[in-house]
Amino acid sequence: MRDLLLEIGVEELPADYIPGAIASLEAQFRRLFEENRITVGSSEALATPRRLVFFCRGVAEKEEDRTEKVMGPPRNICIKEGKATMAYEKFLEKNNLTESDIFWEETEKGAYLAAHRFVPGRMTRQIITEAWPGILGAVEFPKKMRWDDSGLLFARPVRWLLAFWGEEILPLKAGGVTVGQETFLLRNSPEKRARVSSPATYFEVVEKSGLILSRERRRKVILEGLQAVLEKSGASSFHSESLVEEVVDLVEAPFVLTGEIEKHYLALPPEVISAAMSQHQRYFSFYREGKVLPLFAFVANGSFVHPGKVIRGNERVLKARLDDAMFYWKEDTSRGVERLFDLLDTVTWMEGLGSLSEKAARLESLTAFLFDGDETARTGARMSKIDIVSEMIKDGKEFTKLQGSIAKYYLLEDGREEEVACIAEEHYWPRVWGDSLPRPRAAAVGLADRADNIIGAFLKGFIPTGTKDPYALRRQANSMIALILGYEKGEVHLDKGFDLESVQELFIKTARLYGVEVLPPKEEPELLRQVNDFFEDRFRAQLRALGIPYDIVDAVCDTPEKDLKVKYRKALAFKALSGRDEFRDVAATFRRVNNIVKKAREELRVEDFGPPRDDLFVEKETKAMSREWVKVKEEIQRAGDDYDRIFNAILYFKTLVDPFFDTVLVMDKDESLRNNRLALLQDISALFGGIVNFDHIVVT
Amino acid sequence: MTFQQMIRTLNDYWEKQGALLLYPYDMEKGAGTFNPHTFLRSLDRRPWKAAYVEPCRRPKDGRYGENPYRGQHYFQYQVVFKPVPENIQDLYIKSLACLGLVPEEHDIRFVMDDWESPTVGAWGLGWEVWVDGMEVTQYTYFQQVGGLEVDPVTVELTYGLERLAMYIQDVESMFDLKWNEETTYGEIYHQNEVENSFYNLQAADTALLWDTFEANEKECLRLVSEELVRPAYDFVIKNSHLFNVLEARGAISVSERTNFIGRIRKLARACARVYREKESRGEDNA
Repeated sequence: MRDLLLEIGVEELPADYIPGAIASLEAQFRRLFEENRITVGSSEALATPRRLVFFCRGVAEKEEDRTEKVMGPPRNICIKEGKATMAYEKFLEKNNLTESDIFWEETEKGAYLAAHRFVPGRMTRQIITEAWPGILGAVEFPKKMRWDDSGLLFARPVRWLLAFWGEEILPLKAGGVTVGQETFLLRNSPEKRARVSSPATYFEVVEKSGLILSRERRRKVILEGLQAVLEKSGASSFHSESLVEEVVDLVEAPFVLTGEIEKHYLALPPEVISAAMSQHQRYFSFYREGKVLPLFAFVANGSFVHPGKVIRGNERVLKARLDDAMFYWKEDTSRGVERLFDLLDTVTWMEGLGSLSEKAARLESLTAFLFDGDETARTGARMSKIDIVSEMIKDGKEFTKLQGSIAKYYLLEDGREEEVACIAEEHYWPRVWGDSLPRPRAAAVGLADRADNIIGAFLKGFIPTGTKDPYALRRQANSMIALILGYEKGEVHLDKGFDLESVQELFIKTARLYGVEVLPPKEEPELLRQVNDFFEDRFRAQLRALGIPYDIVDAVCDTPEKDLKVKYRKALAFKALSGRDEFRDVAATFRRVNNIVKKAREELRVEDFGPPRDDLFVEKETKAMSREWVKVKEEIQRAGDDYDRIFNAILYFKTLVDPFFDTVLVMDKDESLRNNRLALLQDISALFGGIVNFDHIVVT
Repeated sequence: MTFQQMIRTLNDYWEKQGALLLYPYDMEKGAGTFNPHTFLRSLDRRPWKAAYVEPCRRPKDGRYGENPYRGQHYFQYQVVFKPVPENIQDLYIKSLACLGLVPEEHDIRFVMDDWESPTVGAWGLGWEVWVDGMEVTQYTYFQQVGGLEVDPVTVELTYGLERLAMYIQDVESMFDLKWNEETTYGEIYHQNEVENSFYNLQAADTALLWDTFEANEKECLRLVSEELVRPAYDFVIKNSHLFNVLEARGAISVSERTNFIGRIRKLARACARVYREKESRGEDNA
């Protein structure tokens, strides 16, 4: 048994490449060991930006010996006229076997010559050496590159390689690099390289140099450093957790330092200060009671005896960024909101689909429709896009992500109503499925905005397919669904949802504002059919995401019902009902009803069998069914949205439908009898079909 | 260290590494990458080591000389090596040390920044290099240039001279940089910033520029068809700059932008293709 250590030394890897790369490196080795029956102890995959490390304890010297069954030719080829043939001899010779090793294996096709062959395990060092080029080439990265003529593709150039098999060095290569005996240390340490003679000495050398190979330990050091700043500064929180995750993979030896900013920058909105710190520079900002403190923390790579220069340098850079932000802030606020509003006219929203001011006008009119003409909501809609043309947001700067928040600040700064300002910020919420919901007026503007984006993109032909969704329309549809169902933080609150009976109607209105002629319901242009299909698809996907089984989703969605809230309620009710023993049987019975009606319509070419007539029912089963149908129908109509009660009525009615099917042949020779039965079944199918489509329920 | 001493220091250093010390190209351009010493030379198979200062123009960045960090005219120091020396990263760090930025005292970091220039159909992988949080160099391994795979790979190091100098001299504005002990950067270039910002942002005759753009495009294609690569490529540089001025002038809408970039890229690709063809026929040995 030996310990195996591999270190692939590279020029700095992108931070977000690291977790995937070490996971794939480790998985490949584990697979290699397993496939070759090499017993191993525990393993670790470690990394810094400059190295990927795989370490495995207690690796067996060789793979396990084994016996292998080898099959030869069939008996009639091996033995002819009682004598062994050439084929027989050849098999023995080829496999180095004697007469005593062989036996006849009985198979379905007759007896075959066979033998158990002893296969000694190969040496592990050899297995690893042979597998290495494949493993190295298959380390997973989002993007790979070339840098020399070795042909190796890797995320960044490989510059050194260590491969210790115990104290022995494996003869490996990585592109143009041959295995060596030196590892590279921190660039700011006095020793830039160190000699290594075994896995144990490697870890000693690394530990002594201050390098931290474990991501978890680096994270801990960073969090402790940030905690110390929190305590010292009296801040209650820092921004942000996700930044910690990134910084963990930007350094080999985290060293948390703090710097200060001048107090006058605190006039900027806290989001802007945080963005200036975090977006590009990866600095941490600190908050107390919702206010930013005039300091920041950053994580340097490796410790510095005199960090003064490092701190001053970082302060300078941040100052330049805050100066930029201050310049934008002053430019924008000095010009006022109306000036920004006027500028919307000069910016194209989507090629060929007019300007941003046209978009704002559409949003205003859609919001008026969605929120009963409410003046505040309309103003919010009209002003919701003003920050896109602001100095702070335009041209993709580090503050672009603050779109919405910046509009809010500018509106407040301009003395506008607070509700209007909040609409500008919140109409983008929820940005993703599960985020917080906005207040109702902002929800109306948000629905309008997303409907406008979806129709606009479809008009331009940007229809999501497969993995292609350049305008993130799926996410936008999901947000619409969240707004209507009142979904946030993992739960649906229908009472918080926005009341919109028909999303289709909103799409129609939006399309009209784009100048598309729509004469519903018959003359629905292809565009709207595509949009509705797309939206329906999203809705079904989101119901499934909420834990509704797919057949129930299809059964409640494939009905004429348009109201998403009703569909959701129904989906929940039928999900519960589907747990009842009788559910699948009920579904089977009424699926049969649907099928008979459908088939009869096709075969007889009859659209509508009309209302059933009592005088044309003859058998007692048919009479009973038709008599009870009247009552069941009333009961269902009275039940409203009490789906338990509806289901009980359906369940009861099933006891009348089953004997009917057992004894009566629907397709009677007598046309009037036949059509009257079909008329009744059609009535049943239509009423139930309006509630739930049993055709989709998986019966067995 | 004055601005001119910095350039001399870099020249001395890279000369010792075997680089040819070359000169800027005599045309307006957005980056040292446009210089044929980089663009064309990265396309052939012959070894190449060069270093040069490149004055660059980014019309959109003009701030009438009022912004301390941003200007429509600035200097890059460009180093290109092909094939890539194995110790290139180390060589680069030592060049910073020559400027006084030693790794023992400064936090030097390589932060992922994959580079792409859709205008010339080029992309590469690499970093922006930070010194104490400040971006001082763009460091790129070219993978494609002019739409063609490059082989061998060229590494390009582009130092932002003003930023480095501001840090080294500890001044708050590029115009306060000491060019030498007596004269500041501002004394030489401030008025240039003011006038050219006016030109780029307000005064440029857009109709004339459009016409020139069209004419250049035609001329470029004609020269390509005659396999006169270098003159043809000059027109790519010209049009790239005209595009930048027109954009700064607000004469190109967002939707037209992609279209124009595509037109320039088409020219750049044509030049790259012919250059490669002639080189493989042995007809272009520079």
